[in-house]
Amino acid sequence: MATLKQTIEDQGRAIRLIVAEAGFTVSVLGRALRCIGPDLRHRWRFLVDQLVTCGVSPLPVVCVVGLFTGMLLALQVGIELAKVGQSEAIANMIGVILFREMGPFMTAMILTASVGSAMAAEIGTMRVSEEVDALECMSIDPVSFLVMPRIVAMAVMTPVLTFLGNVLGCIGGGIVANTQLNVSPSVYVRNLLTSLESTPEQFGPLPEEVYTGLVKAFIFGILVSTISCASGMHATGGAIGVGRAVRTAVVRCFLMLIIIGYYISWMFFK
Amino acid sequence: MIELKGVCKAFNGHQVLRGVDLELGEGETLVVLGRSGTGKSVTLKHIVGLLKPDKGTVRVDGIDVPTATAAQLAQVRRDVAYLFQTGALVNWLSVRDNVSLPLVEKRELPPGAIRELVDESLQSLSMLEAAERMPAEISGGMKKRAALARVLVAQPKAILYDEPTAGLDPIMARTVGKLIREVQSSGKRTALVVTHDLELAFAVATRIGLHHMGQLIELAPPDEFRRSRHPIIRAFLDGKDDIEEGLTS
Repeated sequence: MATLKQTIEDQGRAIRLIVAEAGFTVSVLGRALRCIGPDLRHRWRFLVDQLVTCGVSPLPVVCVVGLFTGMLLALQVGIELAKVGQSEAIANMIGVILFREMGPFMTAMILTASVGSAMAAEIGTMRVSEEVDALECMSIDPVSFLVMPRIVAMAVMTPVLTFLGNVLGCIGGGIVANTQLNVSPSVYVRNLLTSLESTPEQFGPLPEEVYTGLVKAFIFGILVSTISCASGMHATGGAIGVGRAVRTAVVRCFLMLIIIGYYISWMFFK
Repeated sequence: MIELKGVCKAFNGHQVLRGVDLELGEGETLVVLGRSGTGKSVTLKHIVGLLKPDKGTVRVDGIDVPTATAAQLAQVRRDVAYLFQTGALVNWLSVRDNVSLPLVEKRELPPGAIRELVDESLQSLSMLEAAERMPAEISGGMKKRAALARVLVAQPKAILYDEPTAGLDPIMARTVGKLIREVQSSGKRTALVVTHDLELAFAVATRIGLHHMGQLIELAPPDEFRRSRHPIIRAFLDGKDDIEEGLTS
């Protein structure tokens, strides 16, 4: 009986902790959004640094992953399509899968691993070495100073990298389609463009397949940076605490990307 | 100016402060001695509102810090600066940018005036040559001086020094002690210094207290404190390993 009570108490504590940390993450996002207006122009130097960090540093990885994701998709799906004599449809499949789902998700995963983890580590280190406390003592809001520029930079750069990754994925798919499935480049490009233009919904010049993916990437950018920064802000207990904050950030980002990603897709394509 | 009454604080069931009482008047330099881990820094963090007490009151210039509004807390933090043990410089900003940070963030002065004040502050602590260097490129003593310059540039009424000589070699520790004395005498500032460095304590204090078991015991002028017959103070001053030794001797 005592063991059961203990288990229930432990579970209760764990749930309370999860709810408290989720609340903290949401409050960090709220505070960051509130200070964009008054503070962003004072933080342009740091914002530019963060745009470079979020946009340039992961660029090679995004390019390689984007290219090979397209190649893999073309290879695996193309083999099956070839069996039913539909090799030419590979372009349609690649366009839709990459632009709608794979592109934003893969890019967000890369950014979580390369940039989000670094954000959690940097802010976590600042937290445990009292730098965040020092900012508070100078009446400097750490969310405005440390978090807001990072969220803005990720929100801007994630769609850009996603688009680039998608384009490279399409190129990679085209290479495989041409060399291994004997689909001519002109047919591949025509089918690819048709797949992206086939929907009636448009957002300016962007077809639905493209803009929904970019919206998703934008939300993923905010999600990854907010969770990572909040985990860093919550770090306690020296180097171990920083390690824990990074691990927590990466795990939560992966989970939230897949869960939120599903609901965004459901909203757009239900 | 600063008043703590019956301040209690526990972390995860571990009672760190057990009713700290402290009063600090304007222009006074109070040194709080004590072994590591007795809650000296925790006491300081209550004064600037980084921590809230479980019980008791913390007042700065009449403002009740735990219940202060954002504007009141900003006022407290303008008046009372905190010099962190490690310096807590922002590691991706140069020494100059670190020192100018509080002024830049206030957004009240033009860049030229800020630069002038920053140069003056760095000059007063012989740090002007290192102004463009990054925190990772300077020694521990220089970091402390840069952090002190950052504190002084904001012209606070009071400064809380958290272990200002910890981790420094004896020569640098004496230099930092001298700096604190100069800062105190030049600006007639109020200061609260927590340390376990006896030399520093007797050099700068107008009153000294000992933090023991989460409470402050015997707040007295340096000479009186040195002559104290309190067994715990004697054990601390005589450098006895265990406080029990002090109690039994």
